[in-house]
Amino acid sequence: MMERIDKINTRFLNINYKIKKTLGIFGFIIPALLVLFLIFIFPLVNSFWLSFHRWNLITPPRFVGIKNYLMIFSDPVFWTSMKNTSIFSVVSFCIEITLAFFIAQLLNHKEVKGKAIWHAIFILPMMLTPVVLSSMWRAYLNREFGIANFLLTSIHLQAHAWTMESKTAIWTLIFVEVWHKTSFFILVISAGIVSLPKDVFEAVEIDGARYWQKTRMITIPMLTPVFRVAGLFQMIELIRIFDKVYILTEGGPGRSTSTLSFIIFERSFHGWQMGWGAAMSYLLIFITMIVAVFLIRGVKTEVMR
Amino acid sequence: MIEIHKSKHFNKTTRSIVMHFLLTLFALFTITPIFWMLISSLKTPAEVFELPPKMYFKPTFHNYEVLLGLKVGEEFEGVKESDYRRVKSKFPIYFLNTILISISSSLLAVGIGSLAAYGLARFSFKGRSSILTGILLTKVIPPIAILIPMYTIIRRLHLLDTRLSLIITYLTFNLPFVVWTMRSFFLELPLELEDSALIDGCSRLRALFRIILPLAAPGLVASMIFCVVLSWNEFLYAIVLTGDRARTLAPTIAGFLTDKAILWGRLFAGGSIVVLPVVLFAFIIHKKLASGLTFGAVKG
Repeated sequence: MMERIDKINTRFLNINYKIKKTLGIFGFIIPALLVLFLIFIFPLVNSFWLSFHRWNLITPPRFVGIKNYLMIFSDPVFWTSMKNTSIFSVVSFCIEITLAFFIAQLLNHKEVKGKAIWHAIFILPMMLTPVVLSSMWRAYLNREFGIANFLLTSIHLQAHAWTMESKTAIWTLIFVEVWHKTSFFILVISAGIVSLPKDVFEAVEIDGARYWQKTRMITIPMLTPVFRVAGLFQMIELIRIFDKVYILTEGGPGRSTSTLSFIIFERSFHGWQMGWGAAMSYLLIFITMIVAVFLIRGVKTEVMR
Repeated sequence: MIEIHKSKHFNKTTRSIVMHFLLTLFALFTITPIFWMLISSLKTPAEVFELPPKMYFKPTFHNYEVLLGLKVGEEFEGVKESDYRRVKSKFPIYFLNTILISISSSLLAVGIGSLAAYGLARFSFKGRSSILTGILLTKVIPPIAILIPMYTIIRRLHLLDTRLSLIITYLTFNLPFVVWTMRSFFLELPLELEDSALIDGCSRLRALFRIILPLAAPGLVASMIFCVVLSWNEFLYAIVLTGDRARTLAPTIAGFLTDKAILWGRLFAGGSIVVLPVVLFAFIIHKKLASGLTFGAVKG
């Protein structure tokens, strides 16, 4: 009899304990989940609904089915922006990561003096406000008054209206992007290089390995996780590029630098085609998601234990 | 033998020189534009446009004075004194707005986020890994995709052009960031500390406040600074959701590039003011920068 009561008691206590524990856990997490629901799930559901409607914010929304999505695919502006975004992302990415690896390697060479100072200088651009640095470059690259053209003409090179010629505009964007974000890769790759185990290098040095051999056989393979994670984070940023386009070129001249984020912004908040914008942003999410699948796999293997 | 030794030594010096030369080249490429902006901000509006640029000039704080509302901008010269109030720079108000918005949003994110981070680090339960994946997925959603529905919602709530609208919207990048970085921070703290407190009869919450939070303080401060920097630099949400009243600094700077004229002096001065606090902050947390920017995936 006593035994039974004991059993019931412990069972009861157990349940009580479990409830308390669950409450405790969720007490910690619920506030954040609630906020995340309100700022992510709710708006995204809202815009999913919106993407099947036509709405200019004045007249009531009108259901149009998948017309918005169909319109996007038959829209030449979309395809131009798609092309621009791809060129911009891929070219910037390749230049940034190569240049940064080169600089990070130099920076962490054992014969280089004053590492802390170099490091501080090289990561500076990344910290600047994107709007400020873009405006700054727009001033330097101005056709008549920019310092860039002055320097170029003084060494007898052709002056350009860098941000206003369809041939140069996208390359100007890429240039500013590279100036800005190479620093991010330098920071991350440098952190990666520093954390590489020293004994491996010492071992191959005894075997008489040359510098580039060490780089190719050890540094690059061992840095692969760093490249992957940092690269994917940066790729996501590149695909959604907006600030620089808005400030430097305003998508022009013509459509030569309009990117996906930029046309969504323009159509939604200048043209007030909210439904089209919502549909287009779902497309942008989808495109980013393809990159992100790899990102999440990468980050998970690094962070989650 | 001596010859070989000598040439090797020579090689080493040339190599060192070449390396330092390349680094200097890249450093100049990086730092000259920033330096140039600072210098140009001290020129008079006319001097800014001069080419070849004047290397020796009398530094003036004219641009800064105009920005701070101590003087009236050159484009308003001849405006009646009674109209000064109307044309006075709103930069100080927007500066205050930016501070208030960044700090409030970051505090909220750190408060709510670190609690969740603790829960996600210390308890194992069904669905934990999906919550974490979900939070990481928010990084994938471009701001413009959130902005469109957010704009319609905020408009319906009549909160357009209020600081609150930005404080809430900025949580979209601050909150996931805090949860992820603080979680990896908590994971590194030894479990034994709380265990002993819990055995001594401390409640979870008390253990958190008494033992864990003091240890996590550096992490909390770093996350906080990080969030402030992210909010400070934000542009897209700010330009759409705010107008004349709740405007922050980033759109204000963009506003100097007007259709009629580019107010370069003011652009440079404003840019310098905006950038300075962020750079200072970033240097305070520079050791955590690498891991912060990658949600803890790269150890800095």
